[in-house]
Amino acid sequence: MKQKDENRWVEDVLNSMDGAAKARPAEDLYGKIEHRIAVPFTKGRTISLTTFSAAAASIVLLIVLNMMALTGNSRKHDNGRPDEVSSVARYYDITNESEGLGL
Amino acid sequence: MQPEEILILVAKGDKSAFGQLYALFKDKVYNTSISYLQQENDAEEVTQDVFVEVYHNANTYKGGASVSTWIYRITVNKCLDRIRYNNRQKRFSFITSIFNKDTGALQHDKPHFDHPGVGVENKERAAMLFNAIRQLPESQQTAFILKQIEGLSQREISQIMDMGEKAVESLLQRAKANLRKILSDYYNSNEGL
Repeated sequence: MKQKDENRWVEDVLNSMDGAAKARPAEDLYGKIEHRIAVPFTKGRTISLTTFSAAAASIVLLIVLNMMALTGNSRKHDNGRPDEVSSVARYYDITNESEGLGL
Repeated sequence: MQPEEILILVAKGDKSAFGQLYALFKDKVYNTSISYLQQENDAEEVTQDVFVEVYHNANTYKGGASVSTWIYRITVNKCLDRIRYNNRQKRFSFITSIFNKDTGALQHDKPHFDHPGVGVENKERAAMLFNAIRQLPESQQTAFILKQIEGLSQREISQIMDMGEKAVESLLQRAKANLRKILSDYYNSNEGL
């Protein structure tokens, strides 16, 4: 019974546009089209000031974050502690010296 | 005068012929657009785009298909482009403002859609049908809208979609099967409504 009700409801929804009238555009639409045809055809699109501002802000933010990341890295290297490269080099020197000493 | 003859005059820049062509096809273009986009503003804009393109490209019409098929094809492509554009806007709504400046309403939320041609007794069911249509893949949406809402024959649809009639039939079957599933799930999730 429940299945029957469900199937009937689904079919009713599927057929709900049967006999519906066509939607009609507003009366002034033709005037708008004529106006668009009258203005010279330009390829490309105009963007709103909001979109332009959002894009500009994103670029500035990206540059600032990159600069912060770069200056942060260089500060890390200037903090008196040996960086990774020199640590590794020192390790190998020590190892070579140890080998030279026959250890 | 046949639409093909009118289009030849439009290609020569005849404004009154363009008016005749508009009168012949405006309801078809607008009804198809509103069925896809489910928003009056978007449907109006796409209808404008379609007729502006028809005017500027009337001289490119080759006559292989009927003028009706040619105009429907432009309409379907413009509608799908607009849906893709709207979906892109929706995805990037976290960067742009999600609220409308004037009304304060959510800009990217699809409102409940009432097709203007539906009688009061079918309004709620038709709204559910359109909500389900939105969830179909593009090609199934196109086949279903052109068949069930525009009332075109499978032959006309196959010319518009540039595919065989069998392929259109199969698309329609899949569209209906998917719609039945979406609607059944909705029915069950609302405990028999």
